[in-house]
Amino acid sequence: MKIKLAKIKEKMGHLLGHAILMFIALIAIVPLIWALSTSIQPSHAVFGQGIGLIPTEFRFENYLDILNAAPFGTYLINTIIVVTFTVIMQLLVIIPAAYAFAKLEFFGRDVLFFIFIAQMLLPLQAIVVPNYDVMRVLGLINTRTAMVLPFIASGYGTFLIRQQFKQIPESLIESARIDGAGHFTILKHVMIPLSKPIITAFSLISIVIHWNDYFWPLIITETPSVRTLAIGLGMFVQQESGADWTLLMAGTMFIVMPLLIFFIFNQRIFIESLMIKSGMKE
Amino acid sequence: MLHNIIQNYKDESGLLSYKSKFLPYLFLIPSGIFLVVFTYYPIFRSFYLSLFDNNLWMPEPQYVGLENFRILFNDPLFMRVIRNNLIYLIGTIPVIIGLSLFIAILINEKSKFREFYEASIFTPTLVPMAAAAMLWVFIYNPDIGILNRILRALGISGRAWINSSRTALPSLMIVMIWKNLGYFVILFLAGLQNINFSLYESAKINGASWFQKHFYITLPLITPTLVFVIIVNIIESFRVFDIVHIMTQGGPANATNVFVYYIYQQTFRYWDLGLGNALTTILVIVLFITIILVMRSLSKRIQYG
Amino acid sequence: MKKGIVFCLSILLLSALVFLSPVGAQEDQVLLNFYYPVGVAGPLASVVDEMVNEFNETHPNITVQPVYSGDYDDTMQRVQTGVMGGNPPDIAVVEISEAHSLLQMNATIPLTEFIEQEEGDFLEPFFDAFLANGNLYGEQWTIPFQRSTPVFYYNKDHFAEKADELLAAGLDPERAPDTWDELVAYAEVLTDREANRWGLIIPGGWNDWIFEAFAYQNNGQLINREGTEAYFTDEAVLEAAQFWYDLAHKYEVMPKEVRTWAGSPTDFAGEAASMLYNSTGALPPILNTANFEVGVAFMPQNKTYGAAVGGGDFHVFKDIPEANQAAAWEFIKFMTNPENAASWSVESGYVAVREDAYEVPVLAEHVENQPARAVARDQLEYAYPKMSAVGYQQIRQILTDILDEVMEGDMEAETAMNDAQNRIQAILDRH
Repeated sequence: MKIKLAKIKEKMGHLLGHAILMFIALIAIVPLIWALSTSIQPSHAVFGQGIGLIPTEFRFENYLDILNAAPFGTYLINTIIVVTFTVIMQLLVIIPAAYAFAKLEFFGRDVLFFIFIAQMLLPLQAIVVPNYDVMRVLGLINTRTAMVLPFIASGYGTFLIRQQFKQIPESLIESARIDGAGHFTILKHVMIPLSKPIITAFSLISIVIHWNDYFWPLIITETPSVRTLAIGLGMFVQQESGADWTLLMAGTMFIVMPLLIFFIFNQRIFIESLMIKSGMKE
Repeated sequence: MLHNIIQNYKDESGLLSYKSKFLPYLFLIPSGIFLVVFTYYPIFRSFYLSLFDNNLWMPEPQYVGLENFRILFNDPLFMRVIRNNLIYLIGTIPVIIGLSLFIAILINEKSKFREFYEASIFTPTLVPMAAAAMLWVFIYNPDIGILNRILRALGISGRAWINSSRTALPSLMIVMIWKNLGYFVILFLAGLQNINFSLYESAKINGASWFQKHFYITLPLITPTLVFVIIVNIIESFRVFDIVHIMTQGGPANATNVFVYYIYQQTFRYWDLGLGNALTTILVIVLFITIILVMRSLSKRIQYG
Repeated sequence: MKKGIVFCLSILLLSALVFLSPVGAQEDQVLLNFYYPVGVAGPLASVVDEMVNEFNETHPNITVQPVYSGDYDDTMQRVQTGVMGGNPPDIAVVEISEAHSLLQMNATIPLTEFIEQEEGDFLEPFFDAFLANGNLYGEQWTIPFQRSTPVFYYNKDHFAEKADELLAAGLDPERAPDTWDELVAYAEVLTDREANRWGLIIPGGWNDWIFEAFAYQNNGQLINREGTEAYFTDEAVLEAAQFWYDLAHKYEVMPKEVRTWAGSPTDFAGEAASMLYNSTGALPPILNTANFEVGVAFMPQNKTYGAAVGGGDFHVFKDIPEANQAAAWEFIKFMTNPENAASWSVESGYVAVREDAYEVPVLAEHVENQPARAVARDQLEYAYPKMSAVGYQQIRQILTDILDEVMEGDMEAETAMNDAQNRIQAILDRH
């Protein structure tokens, strides 16, 4: 009898858990669904009564209108260029540094390691004033290059990849050494292949972060020809400034969609690689 | 120079040989250059320039010692900004951590719909801040926004959420929680998966309640993730900007003016570079001290494997 | 290990490649960078782009590159950035109150010489009220482009709906309130809590500009023309602040939370309020979205009608080649010629900057069809220059913050104006 009661209690708890999770999942995605539904309606529909989650009238031309109202195509290309370069450059400089910190002995290693990863604690937002000045001196204001440079030496990336490299057994490296492999070969054939999940995870995070970056492009860009999607939307918002919510939501969905579609098709990779990353410990 | 390097390279005991003392530094150079040029040099330059009065209408910067700092600490607006930042920090961190850990535990106990929960809760993380901000301006709209529509349907009269200095800051905090929660849920889920399930089984046999079970087993074992999450959130709360710039421009009446937005105003709107650099200096120091304190106080409780 | 060095070198090479940024090709013609803001709701950026295209087609030696640079504050920010970095735009439309700041920065050139070279009196057709802000130290520094005054919008359907109650209160439902007292009386009748509807909205964001109009209506002034003295504690200004406070907190006919500037036309069009103060530039979006008859009137008077002009003017910059300055002048003449001033006014809702534009058929017809269009123009008779001083950005921020607090009831009108006086005077003294 007691056991049965406990069983029922457990079942109830289980259902309650599902109810809570459902509710939170809904809160997470309803705003996006509402935006999507608004973005395909005619502009007067937003004044309608009721909740308005399901459109009754349709106007898909909103998406064509926003492409005409602002150079979203250019923004998209710029974003892809900036993000690709950022991630490639990050990996190129981080991996050797992580390797040195993980597997090589040298004077001042710990101090240098601290200096390298302390960069994590100094977001660009905090040091934007002097960095703007540096870009001015380098003549890089209003360039895509300026949007890449400050992010290349990622302390976060160095830390993650170094942690992973450290876990690779010394014996593997030794045997490669005996076969006559140099550092480059070891990196290419031992370290990197064994660290793929972490490198993927870091790249994904980096893509998301830089795809979404708003602050730095706001400061450093002046003309639409170099602007990225996030800042382009910000400008578009000011331009439209509340005049037409359906267009604004179409613009919003336009910049949300690429990552979202990417995510839907690679959902497992995304979530699993994030999990591997954080599951790793000292 | 290059010639020498190549020469040495041929020599087994040379610069690039496996045992070379210099080679590790060579690996650090590419990253190091970017680090120096775009992180450390700017910081020290900012420290230096914070000692000058400098604005767009002055022909030459003028050395004023610590005057900029004196101005700031006597500025009621700066105090308001710091207060806003503290409210933001204290208001978001416990909620994000409590909620994301709770959700992660719930998901971890379920096998049905698990992927659906993970995916939908993670989705807002992918939404660019600019888009999220825009979306929520619409949601918070007092007349046509969905929030007030729902409240009206429930017979509650809504408010002008981001247009009132009383509700503006909490409203922004909710957006940030909505946006960031999923990321931390995933982090905690990962941490939870490393916990041996048999620990829970034996706790259950000993008659521990759901709450006891997680308080005594989960919490201690998840501390490393917890520390990481706290630190990330502290940094996050000091760099919040996008949402303020798009949703409220620091208003109404500075109710949402936060540190980085204030730096932006002083520097890029009023072109008071002296104050901008002084603010940068303060922020860098505050960040460092806070994080070191957090690490110190928490690391005592962590046992690294 | 050879590969190791190749690897390192290729990284450096790649970084070098990233450093290289594309440089625009030099051509044999004058290339002008033109920064412009959009200060009101609506797709005005594309209208400007079209006008510029037409200019480029008709002037083969000049290519103007239009750069939409955000709202007025952002545009000023970008202009300052450019000037500071030694890379100013050639020509920019900047908010009229910034003239003092740009002068102090030594960023712009006076246009008097160009004006004198023109046949006849070039400035004669322009409205005097629009020229005033750009006229400093005996020179004309700017040419008006997108210019406005705030006007008073009202929902004629709401007025008709409440006709009986308005009549009972001795008010005419066929017209807008004409005085501050009437404004309160109308708003009290029109405020309808059950319908979730306010009598009146004075939006934030540019409430400093609306407030300046209230000061003028009370025979007051906020800052003197030279930008050296503030008058916030004058009786006339204090009364205006008190009146705002009362609208929200004594009569409770206005939301206590500050509505956004850009969102308020939508609020009004969505019938969240029966009356609205906003720029005349908000007219087209309101007409496009409202499902009711829109009324436009002078802002109610107290001692007199009054408004501060607003909007943006053309500035030509200093550290650019002379050929560019001359080309910039050509561009300004084109953009402000009667035909373009007329069509720009039609598209944007702004007041045409010159009187003769109202004789151009497209605008003449438009005004005939929509008499509301003429209200802002006619109100110019009572319009004064907008306040302007070095450091205007900061002054404006302080004032809007303080006005927000008055509207929210966090500050008594008198404390607020004392605060404004002290802080703003301090900035004026600093420069």
